Amino acid sequence: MNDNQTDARQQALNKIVESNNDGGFGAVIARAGVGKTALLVQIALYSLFEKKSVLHVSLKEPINKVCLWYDEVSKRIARTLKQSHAFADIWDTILMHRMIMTFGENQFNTTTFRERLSDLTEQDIFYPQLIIIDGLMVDKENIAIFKELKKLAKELSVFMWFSIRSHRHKVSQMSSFPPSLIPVIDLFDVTLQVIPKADKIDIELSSQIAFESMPNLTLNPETMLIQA
Amino acid sequence: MKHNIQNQRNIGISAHIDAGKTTLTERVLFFTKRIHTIHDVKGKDGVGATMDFMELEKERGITITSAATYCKWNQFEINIIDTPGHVDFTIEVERALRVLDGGILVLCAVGGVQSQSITVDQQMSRYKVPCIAFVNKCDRNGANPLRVKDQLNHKLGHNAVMLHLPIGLEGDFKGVIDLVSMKAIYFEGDHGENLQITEIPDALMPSALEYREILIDEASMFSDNLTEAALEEQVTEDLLIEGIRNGTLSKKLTPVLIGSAYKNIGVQTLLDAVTQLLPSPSEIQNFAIDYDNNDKEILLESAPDKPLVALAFKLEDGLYGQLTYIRVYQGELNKSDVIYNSRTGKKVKVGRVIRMHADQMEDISKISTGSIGALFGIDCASGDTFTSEKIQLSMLSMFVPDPVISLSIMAKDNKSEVQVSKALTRFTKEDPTFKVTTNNETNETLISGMGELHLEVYVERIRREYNAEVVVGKPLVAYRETITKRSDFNYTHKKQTGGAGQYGRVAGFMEPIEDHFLFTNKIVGGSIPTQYISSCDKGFQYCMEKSPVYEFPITGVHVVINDGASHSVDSSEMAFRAASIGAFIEGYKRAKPTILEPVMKVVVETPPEFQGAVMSSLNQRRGMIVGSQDQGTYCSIESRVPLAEMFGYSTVLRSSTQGKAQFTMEFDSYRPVPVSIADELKKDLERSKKKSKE
Repeated sequence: MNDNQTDARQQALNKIVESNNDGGFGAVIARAGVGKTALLVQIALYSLFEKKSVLHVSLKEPINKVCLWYDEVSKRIARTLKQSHAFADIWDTILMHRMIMTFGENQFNTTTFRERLSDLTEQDIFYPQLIIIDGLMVDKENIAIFKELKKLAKELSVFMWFSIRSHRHKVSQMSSFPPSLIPVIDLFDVTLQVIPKADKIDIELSSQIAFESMPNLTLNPETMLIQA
Repeated sequence: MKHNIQNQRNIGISAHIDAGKTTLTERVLFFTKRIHTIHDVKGKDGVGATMDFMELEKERGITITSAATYCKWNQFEINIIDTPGHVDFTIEVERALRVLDGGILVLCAVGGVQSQSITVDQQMSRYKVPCIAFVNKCDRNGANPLRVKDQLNHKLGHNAVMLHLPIGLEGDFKGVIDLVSMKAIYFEGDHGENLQITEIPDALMPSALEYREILIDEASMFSDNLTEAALEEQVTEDLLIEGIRNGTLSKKLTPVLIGSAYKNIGVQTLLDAVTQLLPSPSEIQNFAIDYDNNDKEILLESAPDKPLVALAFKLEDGLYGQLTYIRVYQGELNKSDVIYNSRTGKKVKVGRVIRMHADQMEDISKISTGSIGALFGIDCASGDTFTSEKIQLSMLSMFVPDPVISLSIMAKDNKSEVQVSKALTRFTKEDPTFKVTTNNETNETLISGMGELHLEVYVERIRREYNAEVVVGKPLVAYRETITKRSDFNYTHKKQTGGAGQYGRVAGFMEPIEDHFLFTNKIVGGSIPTQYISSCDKGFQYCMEKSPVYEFPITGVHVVINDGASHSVDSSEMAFRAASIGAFIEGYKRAKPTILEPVMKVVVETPPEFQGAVMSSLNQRRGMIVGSQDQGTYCSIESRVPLAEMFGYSTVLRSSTQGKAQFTMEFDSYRPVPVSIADELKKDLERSKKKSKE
């Protein structure tokens, strides 16, 4: 999918993933209801356009709801394209490269996740190149899980994106990150903080990647799509 | 006794296969004193549950035909339609839901919301049927009704609230706590017929108070009186029931009851909830289409003095002739009345009017407004509307999916041939998803339906009920064709063989669309005279039935005509029809046609240890795995698999999972077949053509 309108944002996000595809971690940080899942799905779709295999792990929503997210966000992206019919042509390819894995409440742990992944890879069913994990709470109990996942990302040489929920009033005194994220912040190579303002939604990019010029990303409040 | 419509309930019991709905119905009939002994599905006594009256149903432990039955609970008259749980029989569920005012969604306390529950829930939503949920099998190991309540919210998008809490669970399941009356209810006696209502045990009081608070919070959204009472801490039982009822009727609240039908726990309380929370026929808006008034929708009134409007929703052929199940929406249907079939315009005299109780019947003098009954000796098709005057009213049509699978069927001898013909006529009348056609080239009779099991059941019924010996062929997939690019056509039909000639030229283009077929006339200047345009349309539509390339039916074509020519003497409707056929063939071959195959949504539920094996089995069948859902004790794998690859899958699944997995399958969409398969199909076609020539 090559279209000028998607190029800038796609290039910025792809650069993040490609520079860290040997076990990189990215976080989309926002308050509840601000659009973490929509942003993660968008990130996944930009990789799917490049025919990269994306595994979407959801710890809060069933398969059909996750599918609906993809349908909805892809329709929004298609509307911004000059040649929207081209999108319909690649939809089947997108589906072939996407796999959804959902876990019921408290069912997610790295052992099970590893087993599920090996079910897919050992039988040549699916090899993820990007993993999205939506709904994993960052708290004391889960620190070990994040560390294990980092190991797994390195073993598989994949980039993992997470959704991290922040709270309106709880901001760490040392940084703008949610306090719960501080113990694991070293694991992350890039963070996208979604900050709603009066008439726009800013995305604050914090990354160790050397961009030629730091992309200035915002979210379109109407479509919730990234604008570069 | 005077009929009081407020005390009438028409309810359906829908569920995932094996959630226990037939057992539940059996217990309902027992407690409402319609039967005096209890027989279980696949029971040791060999009698089988009362609602599963067909031999085949008893044998397979599944309910195939929805049996309508009538019972009374307190002063309420309840019509229950027991519905099949297997996806292949969804037309039965759809038909039942069409005539119901409320539903009980039965869920397994162990399995929770499973794939079939999702289908059934979607069907209930399509017909806007208010429902209450009953979490059954709370006595089983691993039962967790609260988790099922959460699944109702997360998976089905309900706003589910607990109306009951369990007292003990699994082997210790003893009774329920009613959060409305705040009492503990125990079901004692041999069959749980003696209700012991006592105070809530102290240990369970904190959770009862917590869940009652949630119940009041949710219910108060639907009743201002309840909100006020809650603020003043003076909530009465009646106010709380009013709030829950309002929420249920608006489909914004799903009360969750619990129990174990097998252990006779929670059935009477469920019946109370049916009468208290589900609507009477007068509380549901039903519409009919008025064909005399520009297809306007007319709101029907549940009044006995209004003209009759009734829907024949199910037909059965029994020992005494055709039995027609009918729901009266407006007016009354009396014995000896003369009624009109609005589809055929024929007058019919009502003979025997009966009320069904599974396979037993009771003669009645009339079917009152909002009620369900059955008529004998009425010749009609399923879905026909009957009215009292010669008015063109029709109930809204039911959603009937197209069949996706066919197989050839042939009688072994002459005697069987007559019987097979009788059976097929009956089944097509009874079931709109079951179709019978003849292959003109091979002269074979083809039966088509919604799945392998659907057709298997009918073949088995021909053998058993009609004593006919039949030979069936291999299942055939209903392939379609479509075009993938725009192409132009310009065809002249010209014939001069003595007498009047034939002349017509049709030009334009065809392009792919999502709908089945669209014809657009863009002729300007009368190059094709107006009177021949409809012949062109008919010619194109005729071509859609059989493709000139692979001979499958065609779908997704938009034909636009924008030029043509006619002759003052030689042009005729026939000539333009022939010209359009020629134009279609010309354009179609250039429009890059492709074969489409039915792709099914296949959901496999399996213990997690077999997940890999299941995924592999789906993958081998050209399946695209959409995702997997891990629920701890089991996981479900959702995929899209071509129907052609799914024959015999149940055996493969059974052997690869030690019989612990089950799957549901329903039609999803038509997708293009891979080139290698298309080539195979082409070869098959050539082979069969060659064979038929020989």
